[in-house]
Amino acid sequence: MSDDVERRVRDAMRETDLPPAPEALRASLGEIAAGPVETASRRSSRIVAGLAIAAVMVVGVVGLGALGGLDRLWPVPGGTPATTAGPMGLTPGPAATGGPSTTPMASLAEPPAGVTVLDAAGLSAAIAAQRAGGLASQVVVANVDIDPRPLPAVILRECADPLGSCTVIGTLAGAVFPDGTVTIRAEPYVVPPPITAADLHGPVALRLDGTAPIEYLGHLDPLAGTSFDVAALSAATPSAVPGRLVAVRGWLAGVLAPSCGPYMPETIPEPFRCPGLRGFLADQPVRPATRVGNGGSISVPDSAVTVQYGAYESFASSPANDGVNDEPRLGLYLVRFVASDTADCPACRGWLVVGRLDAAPAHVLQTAPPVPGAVVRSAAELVAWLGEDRTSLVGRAVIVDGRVVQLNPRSCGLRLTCDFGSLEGTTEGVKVSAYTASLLLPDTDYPLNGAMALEVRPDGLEYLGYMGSLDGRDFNAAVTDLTNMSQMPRGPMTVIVSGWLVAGPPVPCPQQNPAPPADTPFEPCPGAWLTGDMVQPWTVTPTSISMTPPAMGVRVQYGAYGQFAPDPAAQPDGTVAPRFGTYLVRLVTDTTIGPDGPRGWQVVGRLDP
Amino acid sequence: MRAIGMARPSNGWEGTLGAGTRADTTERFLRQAGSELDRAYRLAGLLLGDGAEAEDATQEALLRAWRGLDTLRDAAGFQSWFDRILVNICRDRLRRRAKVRFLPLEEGGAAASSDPFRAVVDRDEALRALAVLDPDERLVVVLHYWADLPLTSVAERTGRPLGTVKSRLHRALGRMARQLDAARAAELGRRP
Repeated sequence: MSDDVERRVRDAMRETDLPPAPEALRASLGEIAAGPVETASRRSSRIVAGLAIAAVMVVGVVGLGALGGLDRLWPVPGGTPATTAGPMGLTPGPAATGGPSTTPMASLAEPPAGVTVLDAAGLSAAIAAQRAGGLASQVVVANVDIDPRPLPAVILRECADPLGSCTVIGTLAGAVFPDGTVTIRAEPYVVPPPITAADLHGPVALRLDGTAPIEYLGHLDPLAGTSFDVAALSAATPSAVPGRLVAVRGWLAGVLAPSCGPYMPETIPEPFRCPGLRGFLADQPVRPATRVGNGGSISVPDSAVTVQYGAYESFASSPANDGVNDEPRLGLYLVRFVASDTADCPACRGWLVVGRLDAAPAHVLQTAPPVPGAVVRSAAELVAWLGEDRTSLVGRAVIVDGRVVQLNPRSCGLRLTCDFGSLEGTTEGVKVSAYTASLLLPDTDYPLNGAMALEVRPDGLEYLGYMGSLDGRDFNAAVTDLTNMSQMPRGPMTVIVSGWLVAGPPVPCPQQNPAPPADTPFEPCPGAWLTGDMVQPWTVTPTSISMTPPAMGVRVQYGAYGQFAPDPAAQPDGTVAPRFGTYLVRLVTDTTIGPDGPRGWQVVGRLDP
Repeated sequence: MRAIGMARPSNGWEGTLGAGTRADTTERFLRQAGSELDRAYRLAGLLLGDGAEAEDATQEALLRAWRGLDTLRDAAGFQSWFDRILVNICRDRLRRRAKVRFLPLEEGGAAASSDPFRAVVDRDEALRALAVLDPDERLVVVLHYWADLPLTSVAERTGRPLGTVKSRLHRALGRMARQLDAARAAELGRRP
């Protein structure tokens, strides 16, 4: 089906006979280049004005409430004029007054609250873990220096995720690890920060992402003498200079803004095109927009600090929205003061969120990236794939769009596993476990006809569940999507989730009567979780074991970690290292209670190798 | 305080805003932007499905490109740099459209029916199915299938991780498939 659509779309677009640019547009190109850069063409002005008027008519008061945000931050009254970017944004010399280095250097005795400062060995270990693969990108603060010399021969590298251009600015001093090349990313629309040698001293914030070049985010400014909250950031804004990097604890939130309201987009450059409307850091979990009919109102707290468009989607933990507001996410965010690259807006300044330190709650280390697209095979494709090297695929979970032709009733009796049928159009026999069979619906064939999860066995396939969609679009889900089980369909619905598997130490547990189904999340302990943030819920001391339930996690069966986590490893204290993966999880029921018994999630496979 | 001395790689636009080179800069910009104009307009038209909006978006992109010329590092990368500007503008317009019903400046349905992009889209069932996609999905489909860009280039132009682009494409094709199925079923239902 997907291939067919792909072919149709590709063909339709290739054969499309689209018109060339109109003459009026071609003429406007000459006008733009001939006139002063701040002069928009008449047509553009007219259209934008028209749109603004229309927006006001339709949206009502939306935008008016947000106007209050403009004076607070953008433009900054009396702000420093735009610094002309030097080579690659590096300062041309002492003229770079007002750069980050004018701020008192951080005292490592007092690192910013909530910020863990790694030493060279800690950084080396973090980099090694990243390079081993399987981890999401992370931002760390380390007390290491960056040596601007010797520079490698190649000075432009490709940044990863999102792709972009990175310029090499030096190497990690002291040979912390081999190939410690450090780069700085070219952020779109803003002038790169001036960097002096003093800015390359620790503590520095770095972004690590697999084997990609290490990205320098800045010298961490502890905002000496103030606390690291949003109010302090707001107070520091008028005197902030481009390049200043601070860690701020606050709620990253935003409004799904219908438009910039009455703003003329040309007058407000990227990335702060809709100041006060789109993204902001607040000292409380605010949802400022209220829908009223076709319009609504927005009331952003005075204390909030505007950040760039798109910051929420890029940096909030498990981003979500209710259709009007982004769900506020508490975190420890790294923000850098930047200047717009727009030539005619010398006072345009603002804070750009460049990372999250994931210090809230304290045991959160990372956040899962989006789930990659799933590979759904037809029955014929599966057979061809298995024919290549079946042995190496045994135990792997696969998603197949096909139909299981049943041979036997849906009960295994007393057997743990039984023959169930065959995959239509193939000679592959399909087995099912007694527990899975007990989850199947008695009144419909739907779970056996369509996209389903199967496990490859040496002598056939095992049916795991039918693929479900929580958003009506695809089989992917975020961990947070899994929490509201009461609204979910019946049967062994299976979805794809990226996250961390983590399990607690094997502590003795009381017997339960009746005993829940084996290897399910209904076994009371020890516990295991699938989490959207990388967390270590357990704290083990010689005398105690404590656990902080993950805020963004679902309970899964204890055996999931050992069976499905990549490279499962126990620590000396009995806890395990969280392992990131793309897992298949299915909705299961405690059938010992009955068909309406409690529901939970069971990991049944891992899709990444 | 020691500054780091490092030469900026020539971007081919060196001295673009310098007094003595303004004419050269203008001429080069006109040449490069001019050569991209048809493609940019068509790309915007497919994304927005509306000729007038495509014209506005392309013009806005030209204006921003001209203003931000000194941020372009490498003249050879003009197309991808300009694409990124244009894509951002189109995405904003699509998102805004999803929330706000802009009132047309020109009254009457004749303008809509004569719109070259709407006419093209209306003629083809597969292109009509673009309407069910959200802005980000639409961007990925058009950049990948019409502009014939590999997914890594789509990721670069949309500023999204490669994994996100892949999942959006997968999701988009699924939604288009369902839309096409529904259209086919409706068509069959209408037949006597």
